[in-house]
Formats: sequence, C-alpha cells, structure tokens
Amino acid sequence: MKNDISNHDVPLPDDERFMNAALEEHARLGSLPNDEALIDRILLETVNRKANTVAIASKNSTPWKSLAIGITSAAAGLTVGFFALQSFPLRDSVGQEEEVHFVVRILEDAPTPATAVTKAAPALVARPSESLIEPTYAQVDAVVGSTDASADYLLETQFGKSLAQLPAKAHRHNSFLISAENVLQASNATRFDGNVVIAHDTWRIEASAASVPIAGNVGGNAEDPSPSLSATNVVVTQANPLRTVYAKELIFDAVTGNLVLTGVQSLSASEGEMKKFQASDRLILTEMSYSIESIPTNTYASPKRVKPGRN
Amino acid sequence: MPQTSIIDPTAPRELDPKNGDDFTELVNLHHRDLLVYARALSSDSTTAADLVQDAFVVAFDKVNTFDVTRDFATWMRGIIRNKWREWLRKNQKYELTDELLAQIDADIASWQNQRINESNSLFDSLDQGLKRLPDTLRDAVIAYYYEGRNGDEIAERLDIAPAALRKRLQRARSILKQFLDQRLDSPPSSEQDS
Repeated sequence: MKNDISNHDVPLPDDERFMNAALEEHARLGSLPNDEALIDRILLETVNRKANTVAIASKNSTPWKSLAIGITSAAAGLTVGFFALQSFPLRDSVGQEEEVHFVVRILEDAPTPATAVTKAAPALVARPSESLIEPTYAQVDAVVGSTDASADYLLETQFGKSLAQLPAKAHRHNSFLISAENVLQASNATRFDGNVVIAHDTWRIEASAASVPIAGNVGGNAEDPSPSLSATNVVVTQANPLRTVYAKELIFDAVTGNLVLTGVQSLSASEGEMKKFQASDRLILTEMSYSIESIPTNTYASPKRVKPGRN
Repeated sequence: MPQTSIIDPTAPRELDPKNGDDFTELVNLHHRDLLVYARALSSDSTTAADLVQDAFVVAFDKVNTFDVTRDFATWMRGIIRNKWREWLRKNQKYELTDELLAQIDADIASWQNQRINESNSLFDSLDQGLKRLPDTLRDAVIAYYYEGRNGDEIAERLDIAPAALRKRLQRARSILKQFLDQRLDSPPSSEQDS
C-alpha cells in the first residue's frame, strides 16, 4: 500500500522515503545549514515568545502607564543601543554607515545560479537559500533589473562586521516580504507601486508605494537619516498587541528596528483610538510598544522692520 | 533495526534546552535534519515544516520535563513522531510500519550525530554523492528533484519511457543511499553508536 507521497507524479516505494526526503530538502535549500524562515517562526513561538507574554500582562495597566513604559523602554533601548554601538571599535576603512544594508531577493522565478539548485520555491515565503538570488552589489542590477511584478521580493537587513560582534541576542533579523503591482528598478533603489503589501514577522504594511535602497548607506548613523525602507499612504497592522495605524509616511529604521510614522491620521490600539496628531508628530512603533514624539513648535517675535535711511 | 542513540559524552559542550540561548542553538543545529525526518514521515514539505515547528514549540513548553540525561535530538524525533501521528489521524493517512519507521529514525539519528560530532551534514554528503552519479542518473535526479519537472516531461526530455525514468530515479536513490551509508561508516573519527 502506498500513499500519494511524492510532490511529483512518480510513485515512490516506502523504503525510499528517507532518500526522497533528503533529496527534496537538499533541492530546496542545498547545503545551507539553516532554513532562516523556519528558525524565525520557531523562535518567535518559543524563545522570543516570552517578551510577548510580558506585553500582554501589561495590558491591564492604565493607558498613561503603558505610554510611559513605552517611552521609557524606547529611550532606554536607544541609550543602550547607542553605547553598545560606541563600544564596538570600527576599523578605519569601515564606516559605520556601511554596517547596515539591505538585500533584495527575488523569491520566485529566479534565474538559475551557476552552482545552485533551481527548484521553484513553494508558496511559503522567505526562503533564504541557494535557490534565491543573493546579489552582491555588483550583481544587483542584473538580478533585480527585472520588472516582473508578480515576483515576491524579500528584503533582509544585514549587519556588517562590527555589528556582527554583538552577542547573538542583540542581532536583529528583519525580513520583509514585499509584493506590488509594479516594480521599478532604479540605480540606487527598488521602487514598488500599486497595492504594495509588506509582510514582516511583526507588522503587515499596506501602502500605495514603497522604496528600498539597493546598496550602501542605509540609516547607519544619526547624521545620515536616509531610510532603509520607506512607504507612503500606509496602513500598519499588528496582531499582538493589536494595533492599526493610518499614516502618510513610514520609514523603517534599520538600526533600532522600529517603524517611524509621520503624518499619522489615526492609531487604534487596545487602549483606545487616537486621532489628533500634530503634523510634526512622529509615531515610533516598536514590536512591544509605541511612543509619540512631538517636536515643540517655537514661535519668535518678528524682528522690527528696518527702514532704509534710518538708524 | 535498533534505534541509534546519539548521546555522546565526548561532545564539546552540552547544550541545555532549558537555557534560551542554548535552545536557539539547538534549533539551529537540528531543524534541517528534523525537516528531512518529518518530510520522510509525512511526504509533504509544508506539513513537515509545521511538524518541526510544532515539535519545537512543544519541546519549549515542556522543557522542564526534559530529562537532561537523555538526548535532545532523540526527544525531538519522538515529539515529531507524535505530532505526525496526530496529523495522520486527522488526515486519515496510513501509518508506516514500525520497521520502516525505525529505519528512517535510525538514518536521521545517524546524520544528526554526524552533524554534531563530525561537522559533516547529510546535505554536504549528498552534494558529493550527486557528483558521483552516472550522468544518465544524475540528469534524471536533477530534472526531477532540483528542477521540479514531472515524470512525463522528463521522460520526453530524456527521450526515454516513463517506466525507464522511474527505474533511473530508483537506481539513483539506491546509489545515493549506499554512498551516504558508506560516509557514515567511514568518517574521519567515527564514533557512531547503534
């Protein structure tokens, strides 16, 4: 008796199941040690789940308490991050801005790498493998020059040597899966237009347009605020804790791993809904909390008009 | 065939699944071999990934019941087997014979052992095995597994009958299995226990 045990149409004896499974798995990811997407899924539900539990437990606190905790946490996180980054010496030839960059990967219908396997990736997203294109900067144009809008694009944050010295827990792995109606490859960025959907482990972002720099300096330091991922007319949804944000602009800060939203129209959270935002307000959305930064508006008295000919 | 025990007292460092960092490392270390295991049991890639994920979640939730004198990989395979049986019941699939299940378990256990003690993965060895296949067999394997083509398509492409293709694939799997078994029998410093 045999099950229908092959993905293809050639019947398989039961006693060959092991070799068949090994070949199929090898075809999928080659000799790569890790299935990053699966590891992320597992860790999200195991080791990294405890943080979520803390967040749920804090739901009962009053909203102002939550907000205060959020702001304090964000500030503490940024401070710790700042000192952590400062404590890692950078080589002279490696600027800090080179330490964070993005890689765009085409998930489906990728051209065949010379030594890689070519099995088409199944529908499951995020397949970092030899079956994907992993462009170096020199290869980028060739790889993402395609404007095949039906393809999905995986955007990964990669850290350079200095940040790689951080302890394992300090590593952030942010994978975004981007799909859109139109994809345009510019010299320095990939632009997505029309029903853009950006999937992330924490957030789902719908936008009218998005842009991802291909190479180089991506929000690597305070002096260079260039966004690593930006989108316009966005709706950000988060399942746990439940949040929905409507905003005009979104930037993903690769250094902190937060979403920075401006032109916020509304924020719905478990504590309630907020609709009154100043134009200059920035909503910082982290995995666990959110905070609103208001830039104080200073007004100055107009200088006295100087009339010519009078002292 | 008896199940392979992969407890190795000479291992460089015992990873404690009760420690978060060690658990993460154990996930990294074992997930791909366990994927092969789950795939061999369920014959479905999506189900296999779900089984492995669910098994790690169960292991994490019940980590305090884990007996540290036991082997983590063996424990994980046990959880996957239970998850797979649940899946069989739900989907009304038939179960494998005990003998076959033990054989698959032993194969995976051996390769998990290799990965830990010899840094030699199943997939590295498969790389080498594929290179040694005769061209006719390798072409069939590449087209079927790596290019994802169906039988009729490959048969037409190779200008052979579908039955001949099936025979070639079967022969290729058999040769590869022999090659892998040889690799297990003669690693540089084999300490395989069975």
